[in-house]
Amino acid sequence: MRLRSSSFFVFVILATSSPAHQLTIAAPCTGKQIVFPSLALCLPTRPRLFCANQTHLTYIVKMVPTIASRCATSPCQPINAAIRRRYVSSGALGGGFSKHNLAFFAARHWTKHADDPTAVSSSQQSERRRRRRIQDEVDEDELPYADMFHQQISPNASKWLRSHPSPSVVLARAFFSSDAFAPERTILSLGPNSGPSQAMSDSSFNIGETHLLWTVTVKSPLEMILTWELESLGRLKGAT
Amino acid sequence: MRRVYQGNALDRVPQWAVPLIPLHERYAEYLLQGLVSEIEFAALKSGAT
Repeated sequence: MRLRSSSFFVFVILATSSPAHQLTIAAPCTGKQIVFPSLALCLPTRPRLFCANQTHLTYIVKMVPTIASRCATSPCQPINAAIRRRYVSSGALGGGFSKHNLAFFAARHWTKHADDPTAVSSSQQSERRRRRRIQDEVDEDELPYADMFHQQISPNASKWLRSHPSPSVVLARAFFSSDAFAPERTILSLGPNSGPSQAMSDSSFNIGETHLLWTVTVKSPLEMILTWELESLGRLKGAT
Repeated sequence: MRRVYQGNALDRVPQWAVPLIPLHERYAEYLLQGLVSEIEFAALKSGAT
């Protein structure tokens, strides 16, 4: 299917109840249709109207084979909510894992939620409103320091992570219990303000829980943000 | 999920710490490598194929 760039389309995503369980994505303005079999059980049963640009459609089309392959290998019913949870972050970096989004999160968190570290996890709608407001108010030059690194993992590890209901918890446990972090963990556990460091491999990392100097501030299936504050260094604050 | 991300934010970087930023970044990458190794090992141990 060929699309014109920088133009908007209206798509009807219709999950039929036919025996073939087909999903039809139709672009009324072009009259073209894409039919995906064996997918309807994984999607809402009522027709829905979406307004999407080319990026959105590309994303939808890329995701469909992934979802369809999952449906082909296991029952769709239990996958329904889980798939959407895994691929759509409901955390603070909804716009994506980037240095820029982390800097905006930190600016928002430290200016608006200094008194209540758990306030960031309130409803997503109010969160989006706050994000827009902060983006209007915060000068890009005044954003806090932020960095972001990423590393590819093997398909086996990826598959193993996906098998957990909350991969972010698994990642947080792995981070705190890794050999690379061991020296820092030992040093920090000696500090007077350090939280409990024992049994970290079993921790559920619930919001508000403290681990060494870090407090869990944001938790979603794919995302976890822990914040810390050091009075001894002139009230220095950070997020990981 | 094909990539694991790890990031850090700091409300302000003290003047004396500015030269240490490259060192911090290398350390952060080292920690990320440790995290990934831990995940790979756990996946291997669990028998994920």
